[in-house]
Amino acid sequence: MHQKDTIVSLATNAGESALGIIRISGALCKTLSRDIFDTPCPTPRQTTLKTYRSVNGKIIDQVIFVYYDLGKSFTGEETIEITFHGNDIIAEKILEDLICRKCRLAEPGEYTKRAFLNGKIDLTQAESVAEIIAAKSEKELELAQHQLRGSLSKALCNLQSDLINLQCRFEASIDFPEDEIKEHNKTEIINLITPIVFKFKDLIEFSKINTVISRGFSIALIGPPNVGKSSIFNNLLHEKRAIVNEQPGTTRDYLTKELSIGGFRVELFDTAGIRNTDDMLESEGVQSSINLIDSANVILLVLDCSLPYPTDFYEKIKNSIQKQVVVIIENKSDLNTVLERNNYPPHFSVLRTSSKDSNCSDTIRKELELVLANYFNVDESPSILVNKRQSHLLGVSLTHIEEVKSLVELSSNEEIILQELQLCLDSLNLIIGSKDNEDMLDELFKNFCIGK
Amino acid sequence: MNSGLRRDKSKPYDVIVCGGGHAGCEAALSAAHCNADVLMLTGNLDTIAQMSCNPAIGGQAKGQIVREIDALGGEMALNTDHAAIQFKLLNSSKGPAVQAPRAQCDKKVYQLRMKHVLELNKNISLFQGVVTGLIIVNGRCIGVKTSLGLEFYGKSVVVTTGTFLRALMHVGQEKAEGGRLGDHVSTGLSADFNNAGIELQRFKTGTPPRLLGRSINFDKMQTQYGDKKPTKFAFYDTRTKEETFHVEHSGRWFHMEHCNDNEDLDQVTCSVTRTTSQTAKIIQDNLHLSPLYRGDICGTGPRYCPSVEDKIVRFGEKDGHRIHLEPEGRNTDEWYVNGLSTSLPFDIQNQVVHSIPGLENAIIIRPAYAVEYDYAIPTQLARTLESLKIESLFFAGQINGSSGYEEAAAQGLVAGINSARKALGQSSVIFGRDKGYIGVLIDDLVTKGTTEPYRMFTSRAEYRLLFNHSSSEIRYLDNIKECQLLSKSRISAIEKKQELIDTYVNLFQTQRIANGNTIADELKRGNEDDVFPEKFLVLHDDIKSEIIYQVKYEGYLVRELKNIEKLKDAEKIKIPHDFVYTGISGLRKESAEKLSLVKPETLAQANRISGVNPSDINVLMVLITKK
Repeated sequence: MHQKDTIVSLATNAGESALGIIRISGALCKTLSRDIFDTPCPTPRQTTLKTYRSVNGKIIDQVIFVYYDLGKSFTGEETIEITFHGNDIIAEKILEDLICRKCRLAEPGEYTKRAFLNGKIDLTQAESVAEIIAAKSEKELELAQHQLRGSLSKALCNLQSDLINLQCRFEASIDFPEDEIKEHNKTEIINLITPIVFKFKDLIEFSKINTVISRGFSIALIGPPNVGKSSIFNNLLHEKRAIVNEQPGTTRDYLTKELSIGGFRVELFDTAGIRNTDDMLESEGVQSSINLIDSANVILLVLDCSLPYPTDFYEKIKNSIQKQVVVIIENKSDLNTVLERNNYPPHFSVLRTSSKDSNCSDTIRKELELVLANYFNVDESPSILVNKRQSHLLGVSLTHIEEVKSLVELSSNEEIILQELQLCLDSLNLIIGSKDNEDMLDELFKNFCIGK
Repeated sequence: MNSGLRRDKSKPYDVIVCGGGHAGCEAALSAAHCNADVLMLTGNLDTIAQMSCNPAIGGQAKGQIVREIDALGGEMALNTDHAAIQFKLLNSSKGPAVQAPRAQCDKKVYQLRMKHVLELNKNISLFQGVVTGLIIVNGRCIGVKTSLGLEFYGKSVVVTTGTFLRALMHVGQEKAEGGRLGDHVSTGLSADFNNAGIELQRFKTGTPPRLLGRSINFDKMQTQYGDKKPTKFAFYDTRTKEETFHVEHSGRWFHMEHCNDNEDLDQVTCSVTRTTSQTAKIIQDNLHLSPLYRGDICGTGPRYCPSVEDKIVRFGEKDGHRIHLEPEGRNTDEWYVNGLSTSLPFDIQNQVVHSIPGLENAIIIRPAYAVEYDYAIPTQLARTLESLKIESLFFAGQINGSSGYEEAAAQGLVAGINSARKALGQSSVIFGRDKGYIGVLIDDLVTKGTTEPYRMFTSRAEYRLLFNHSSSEIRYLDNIKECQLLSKSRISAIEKKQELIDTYVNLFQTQRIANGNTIADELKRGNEDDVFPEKFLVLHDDIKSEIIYQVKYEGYLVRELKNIEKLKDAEKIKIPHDFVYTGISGLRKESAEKLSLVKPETLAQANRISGVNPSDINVLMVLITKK
């Protein structure tokens, strides 16, 4: 369906790799090329090195970008391929950004289908194309059902029936105006909607945590310049058993390495020191450190005991760090303490360390084990929701149910509220399969005595 | 054109309509409008267009259907306006999309006027006769047989036999054959359908007792008045006076209830009372005598119109159930007891009635009863309402598993137009579900089928916000023009209306008033004072409200329109009629079976069949494109 949409998906496998490719197909390609890469008339089939900036201007990655002309791509439509540094967080950010720019995540087998419909695949192959689509859908379905067994499935089904229940209340008052349907009371309805909103939020949160579990945690060392972040970085990695692989950060302004802490896969980021600067290059580095505060799971905030808390540093981080899980490290404890504990963001704990102390990395490591166990309790989370498409759909539902709530608060007409509610359900239905109008009617006739 | 009754095989009628109910009347009239030579056979000329159940037309979703029927050249709207004795706009406090007109009607006037409309139509021959069988040759229906052993031949045959197929009425343990109290039963047809491979199933419906007005104490009840300003069903801003009074002016018709746009209409009142704990007790104590609870009735009844036994059993905790007393006409003292449908024995019915305030001494003059009947599973039809099994055989109305006068009439209209076009060698016409409730009705019936007597609800329409009752003519304009369903003058009036609306909508969205806002901004903010230009204020009320609606709800309507665009793309992909679904790798067996049964005409329709999933649709799309 919807052949006119511009579709997007990750063409390579998820996970850590040298490079990843995102493929975009459809009429929006030229617009995207103009908006993202400042290239309104891209030369077909030419590779260009570009900076990928999101809708709100943030740098996501340095990428290679190739444009394919109408009729000259795999699908036969205009196509863009973006090659980025193989990292799930980057992939996710680019995909999210493209969705903001009106692209839609491709359905299983959709590229093949489009290629066929646009005559790029021989007619005699029609049956095999059909089989590919069926097989891919089957695989996704299987995967989904596997994921959807257990508590998550229950949560989604409950949400669906909560929404249908809400729907039938409004429908009853529209379709049976003469049947003594009780005027619904605004507070009562809001009390029904609020828990639904929270349930959606929880599920989306869970899906983030689960993404983390399957991919590993990211932990960022953040601080002003020269406080000893890199020493801590090296100290933590110099444990032989910790090193899993090493990735040079030549094209980036931060270093990342993988290690294992308390049985979790962890990606540790060493970042550029944050301060006010006029230097162009340095300020890009500072910006990406600040961006990392948003995306990392845990922040190790490193400060120098021997110096006062730098105000410019605090000003720069105070907004983004509020919601994060933070461990504060007061480093260089072997020197005279000048630092005062003012302006500390909300934090999990404070450690005093010195790189001269041989136990330094052990102290930090133990603290991190504690943090991970505390904040990301694996046992309590429902079964895994890794699928990008699913968590995106939940996000769409959330937007609509929040709108429903505000429409109810504004005392909007039922039919308007119902349109919004339907959009919320449509999105949820794409995950767990749709219920048709009959199910709503069943619920309605069960709950209301109709029959003038 | 029509030279009276003929039974000549070599000179078949274009269309034979079997049945003279709401479906039959619209079928005959619309076929005649399409210039077909029509024979209408009815078991009883006196029961043409009979309102067998409640004396009202319209209501939620149904009122919109009636206005759509008017837009497509049907008679029901005009007939209702002429026979109405009380008008009420339902949901008048809600948005325009869900407002619906309803009218209490004088049943006899309704019938007589419709009969007269049929009589005056030069393309229609009327004849009283019960159809007992079909003449089918080589998988094609070419005529019918009647109870007198007469045979009639037609190029198309439309079956609108309502509840009369193997109809069985129940009052307590008493059973009688017949489709309506005092009427016949049709048995021969069921056998013919079976032989033709057309699958039948059983439904049940019921009707309440009728009371004698002078035995009712209305003082104990709450009175319900009609609206001061009636909302009528027909469109008068686009039709000429002659079109409005086509019967009144050309025949010997005398009754003119609403000759003018008279606002001080002398409307009748209805009354409301409710059941008591005594009522509940009587029903509980006698439940074992109800054929519904004894298991005598196997047909499925409608959930939205339960018998009073059902209501008490399922919602007994309520402090009574509302009962409406509605007059059956101006020239009769017979009253309909809305909400008291039952199949309990007559003596118990009496006790139940007497337990209700105001009805203590009420006299039942017509008992309540339940009726079970055969219906033909509607998924065996195309969207033209032609049978997929037998060519040139069309089905419309309650025989398709629907319920309601309005739903029946709408199907009659669609079957009438298509049967005529088929007979005259013209292309078929589909009324899409993006157009209005009639489209939704037909598509639901033939695509999804139904598990209870199908009634329209606004929730069945995906694009409800676009289906406000006053936009019916504009929504169906393509179809109207394609088939010339209305007079040239009316079509051009509708086109002018549309232009006018578009112009004003555009004006409101662009023109700024003193405070710098557009008129649209003001309307969306709920301000309707002093914002309209003078020229606008003199427009017809219907046009004004349509313009305001489109401007005020723009954002929501645009959403619906976008969805419609998506639907239209998929509707463009036609599936060949002879497409073989079995043995396709990639298509699940379960889906293949459903698709083979329903034979969807387009990919969009296939997508609506329950149990057919998106990957099946993708597979289909690929294979159809290959062909």
